[in-house]
Amino acid sequence: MSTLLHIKGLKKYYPIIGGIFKRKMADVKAVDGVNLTIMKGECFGLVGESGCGKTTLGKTIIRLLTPDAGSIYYNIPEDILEEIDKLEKENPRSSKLRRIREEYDLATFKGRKLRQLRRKMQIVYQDPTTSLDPRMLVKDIVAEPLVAQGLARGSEAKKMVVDMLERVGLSEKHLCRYPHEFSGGQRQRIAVSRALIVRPEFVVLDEPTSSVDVSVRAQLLNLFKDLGKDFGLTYMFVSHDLSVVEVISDRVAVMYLGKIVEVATTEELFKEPLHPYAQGLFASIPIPDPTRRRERPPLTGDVPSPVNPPSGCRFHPRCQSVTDVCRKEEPQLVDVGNGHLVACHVISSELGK
Amino acid sequence: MTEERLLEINGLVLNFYTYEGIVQALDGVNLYIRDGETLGLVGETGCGKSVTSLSTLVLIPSPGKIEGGRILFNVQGKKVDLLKQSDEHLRTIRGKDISMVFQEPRVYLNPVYTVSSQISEVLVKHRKEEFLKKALESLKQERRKKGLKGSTFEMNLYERMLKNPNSLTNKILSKIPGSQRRFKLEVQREVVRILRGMGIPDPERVAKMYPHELSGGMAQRVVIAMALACNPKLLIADEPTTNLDVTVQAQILSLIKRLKSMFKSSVLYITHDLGVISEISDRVAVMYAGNVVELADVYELFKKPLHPYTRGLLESIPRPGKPLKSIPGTVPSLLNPPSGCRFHDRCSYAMEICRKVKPAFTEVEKDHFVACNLYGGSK
Repeated sequence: MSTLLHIKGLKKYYPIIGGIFKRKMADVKAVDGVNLTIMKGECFGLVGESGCGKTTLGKTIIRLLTPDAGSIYYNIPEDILEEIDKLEKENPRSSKLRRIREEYDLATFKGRKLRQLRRKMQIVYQDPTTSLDPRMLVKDIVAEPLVAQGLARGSEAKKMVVDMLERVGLSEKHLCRYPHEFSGGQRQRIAVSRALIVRPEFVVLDEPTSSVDVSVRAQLLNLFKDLGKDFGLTYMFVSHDLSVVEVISDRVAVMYLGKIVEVATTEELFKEPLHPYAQGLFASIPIPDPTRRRERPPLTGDVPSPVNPPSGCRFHPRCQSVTDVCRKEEPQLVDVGNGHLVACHVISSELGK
Repeated sequence: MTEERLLEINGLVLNFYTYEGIVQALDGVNLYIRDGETLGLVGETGCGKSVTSLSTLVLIPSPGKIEGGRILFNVQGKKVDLLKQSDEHLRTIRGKDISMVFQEPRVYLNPVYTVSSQISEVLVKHRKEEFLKKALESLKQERRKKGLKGSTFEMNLYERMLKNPNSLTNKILSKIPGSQRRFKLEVQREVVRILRGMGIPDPERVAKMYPHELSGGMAQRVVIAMALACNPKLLIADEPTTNLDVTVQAQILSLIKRLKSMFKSSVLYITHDLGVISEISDRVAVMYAGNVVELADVYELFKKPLHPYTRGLLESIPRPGKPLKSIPGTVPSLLNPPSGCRFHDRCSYAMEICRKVKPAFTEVEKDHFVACNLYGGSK
């Protein structure tokens, strides 16, 4: 399996503007140095509590937001990637590296290049009630990306729209209706068909099932799975609902306060999470089985503010196995075998022994 | 029937009269809650969960009308029909015997008042006498210590208020600044004590905060504190953890469990999350399109669901390694609900009779009620 996306040291800060001169007072460190690789054709799950920067990361990867630092390499040959690695180590300010980055790094893309990129990367938002224009007809909503990209117009576009709607379980009779005439699940289907009509390769699904009921959720998840197979899509599935992520994802990353703390295949992570935060998070899921109740909440306290995150490991104020080094040094993602990455001092020191 | 039933809803019918027609929101809801147990009420959006809970408090929003049925509630050993009580009597029940926690804590907290003033409002409304006595007692003791005789204006006022709570003169006198200092202090102390009981760190500081300064989990704790301020017999929790993260949800759930056993209250817990249901409830009621279709012990329900809808619901929980099943079709519009059993057009066991006859709510096994024609005859 080849790599589709290489993300290196990605940072996205939101400035807090205040004072009488409207100066920048501080930064909300929404995404603070994320390294990730996403394979071609996989469904990559991203989980974390609200406010940990999941959505910001998803939007930054497809360049709806401009990152403050870091680079995103999309579908580039291995040898160029190796060259970048080498150059970064030897001379991070060399003009050769700059030239390569301008050509391949999505973080530097602008204008026409960026618009071409939009064809390959799409997003489905959380709440279809707000992400669909209430004053546009379904046929216009779904055809809009085609027109904007200059791919098709008129009757040709209409034919593609009908095909697409049928693929997601709607039909031609829905063409001339407004979004409010649909149920939540159907609206999400419209949003999906709008994202997929330009035949993208990479789709960010930003909590697409959080606003629908259990039975509709199951229908939508099955739809995502089928479409992913049929169109050969690579998904990034952002969610705080762990049970959904478990069903749909191949690999999962756990995020905490702007940082990735653990990445592993779904089976491995759900069977045995290693990072203390991931353990707490997974133990918090209510299990739909009354014989397996738990007595105490696994995690106490609230998520600290991302404006002023704790020093060292960001999880240390809530962690039970905290050591001195956790308060001072920030842990890096370490491979503990089988591509299972964990950022925790305790675990990496245990492995070192 | 050995256990005492705290609340019993029988055949509750509720319609909303809208311009588009009559929305038959509740179509004969039956359920009961025993003393000290947690009943989980589960169902999809728009199936009438929240309306059922609001009916229990007789707080139906305007186009809605309760058209039939009874809501029996046990007040001091006597069963009263809440639907037949006067507004005045209901006001003494709401917040004191039955209280409610809503889904969005920030919406239900008033943004312009501090946490402590909002919690003390409940206390002053329902437990005024208790605090007046406390304040009077502590003032008396203070004077005795100092060796003074007689009484101050403040003490006189409290005595008058105790003797004659509704007098207009007392109401006017109590408006004099500083005249109720000790009373307010006592209430404040109780607020801090309650907040500490909720597991809120630094309750003195939190009491002085405004709702926007609180995090979601903290705001929900404050709302729960408000609901439990008068030790209610029944706490209605309407999806209190829906907008919270799983870790905070786990904290709130264990808080509710702990408080329930502490206060010996019953809880009606409304949610659409089956995981939460299995975590918290003793018994479960499943609702579909304005009907309670199944009511059973939680272990029994998860082990042996009888109603086809309950089965479908349990099968649509994502479980790894198993193909996801979903219930075909969508929830019917309550403007024009299907005839007979409201589930028949999505049910794979539907028979001819289901199209015509509404199934009765019958006890198939002990304490296991189902409304389905499949089990209608086996009573």
